[in-house]
Amino acid sequence: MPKKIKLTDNGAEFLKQIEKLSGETITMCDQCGTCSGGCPFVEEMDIMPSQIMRMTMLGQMEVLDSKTMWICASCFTCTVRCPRLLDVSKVSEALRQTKLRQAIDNINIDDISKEEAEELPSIAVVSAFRKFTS
Amino acid sequence: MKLASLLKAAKPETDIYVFYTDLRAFGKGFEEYYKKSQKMGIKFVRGKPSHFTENPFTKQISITVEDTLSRQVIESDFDLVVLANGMGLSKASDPIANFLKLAKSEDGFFKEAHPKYKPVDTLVEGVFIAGTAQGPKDIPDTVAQASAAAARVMVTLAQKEFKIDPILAFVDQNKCDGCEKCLENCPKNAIVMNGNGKAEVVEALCLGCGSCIASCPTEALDLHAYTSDQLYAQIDAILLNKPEGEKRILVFADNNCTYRVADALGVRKMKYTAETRIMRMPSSGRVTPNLIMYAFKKGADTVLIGDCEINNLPVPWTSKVGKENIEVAKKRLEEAGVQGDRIFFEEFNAGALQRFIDTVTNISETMKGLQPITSEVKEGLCQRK
Ligand code: SF4
Ligand code: SF4
Ligand code: SF4
Ligand code: SF4
Repeated sequence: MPKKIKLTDNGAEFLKQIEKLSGETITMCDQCGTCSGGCPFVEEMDIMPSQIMRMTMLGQMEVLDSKTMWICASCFTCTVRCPRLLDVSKVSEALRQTKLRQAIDNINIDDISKEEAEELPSIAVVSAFRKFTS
Repeated sequence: MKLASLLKAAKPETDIYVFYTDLRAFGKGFEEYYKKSQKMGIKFVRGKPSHFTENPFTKQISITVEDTLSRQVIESDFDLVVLANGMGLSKASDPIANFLKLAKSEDGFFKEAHPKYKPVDTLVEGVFIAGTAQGPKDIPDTVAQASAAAARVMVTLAQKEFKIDPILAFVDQNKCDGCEKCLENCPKNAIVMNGNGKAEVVEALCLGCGSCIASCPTEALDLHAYTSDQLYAQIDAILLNKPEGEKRILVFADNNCTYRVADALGVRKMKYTAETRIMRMPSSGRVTPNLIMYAFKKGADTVLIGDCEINNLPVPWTSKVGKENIEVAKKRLEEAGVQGDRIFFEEFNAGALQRFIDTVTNISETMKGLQPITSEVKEGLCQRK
């Protein structure tokens, strides 16, 4: 379903925040798609890495609800290929940080069984705790 | 892009969006400029705004546009909207164009004599163009073109004498009766009346296009190298000894396009119907109704007149005059009682080899259904013997 979006001051603020955290100039992104084309995990993602860049640029905060940034393994394939020398993995990281700092507690450590703990991606578990520390 | 980055530099807190459909900053150093604008935080969105509405209270303008890269529709308010229009030639150029008789190309800019070989010359000898008069361009390109134009001017001025093409119109002072009909028929205003009440051609202005010739009722007006006597004699020779039962297409081929096509066909040994006979003309404008009628009188069954395509005409008005002449000739044929479509006009570019073959083949086909013109009718077609 096509959506209608609104460009807002909050959105512009959000972009600034992500640019500051990641150190990347997201408006430099040309939407060439090289990052998405090369990402080894793109099939697992709900939106593509290049879409993350676009949504962030347009200040669409719902980008924080996407799974992509959690699936990104920071493998740097996109980073070495981006013709604009942008580092998408840093942007993913900045988005993760931002999401975590909203400090929404989804994990109750006591509810996790031993088997589940072995299955869970460690990055998720570590992040779950880190949100209270950083 | 320039305005956006100036604004962003002066007021970094402004949120600037550039909506575009296609973006490439061509030219040395310009792509860097684009990157710099992006780096400053200007947001480029691919999509053409389709709707603008003004809020009557806040005076803010709302734009609806699709971001065609992320396939989302943006609907948002802006404090200031700047529209980027395409460049055109200023209205103030019209008097200059009229005064110098400069042609404009389809895009509305002044037309160069040839886009590749004569990019700063105009069709008017001694007048040169440079910069945005010729087409949109930036400062370095303008400077380069202006330098070229200046060099061309120097070439012209450095000559002690200015040589012009010898193919020029002239007036036979004995035949001219001073009717002045020819004056308005030269778009270059190259024909004037002299002290003896006769017409005279200003040779420095004449382009030798031949468009004026048909307007002279006494055949006093003529063109060097393509004089009426020469052309009539050519028609005589071409149609001499035409065997009984055969038919002829006489092609009046303009020198710049149609004749070159015919020439190239010969060089490449490409075949076309043997009924074709080709005569070289300076332009279709030189093909007077009298010549056409004379051709029919001497045995041509059909006549094809070829000129360049309208955008490639070396002298822009010739095909218009040629077509007018054809209308006159068609009427005369009708009045004389000659049946059928016998006069054809076609525009060729110099590479239209196959089209020339197809054209004469088609004419040859239609000719099969045409009755030969009887000798009594032929006699009445043209006064010339
Ligand atoms: S760093 Fe992340 S987004 Fe980039 S290629 Fe690797 S997994 Fe994909
Ligand atoms: S490769 Fe770089 S420029 Fe291309 S879409 Fe990805 S982030 Fe943008
Ligand atoms: S030949 Fe052409 S330019 Fe010369 S006087 Fe005739 S119409 Fe004018
Ligand atoms: S139209 Fe012919 S006769 Fe009349 S003024 Fe011109 S040259 Fe002379």
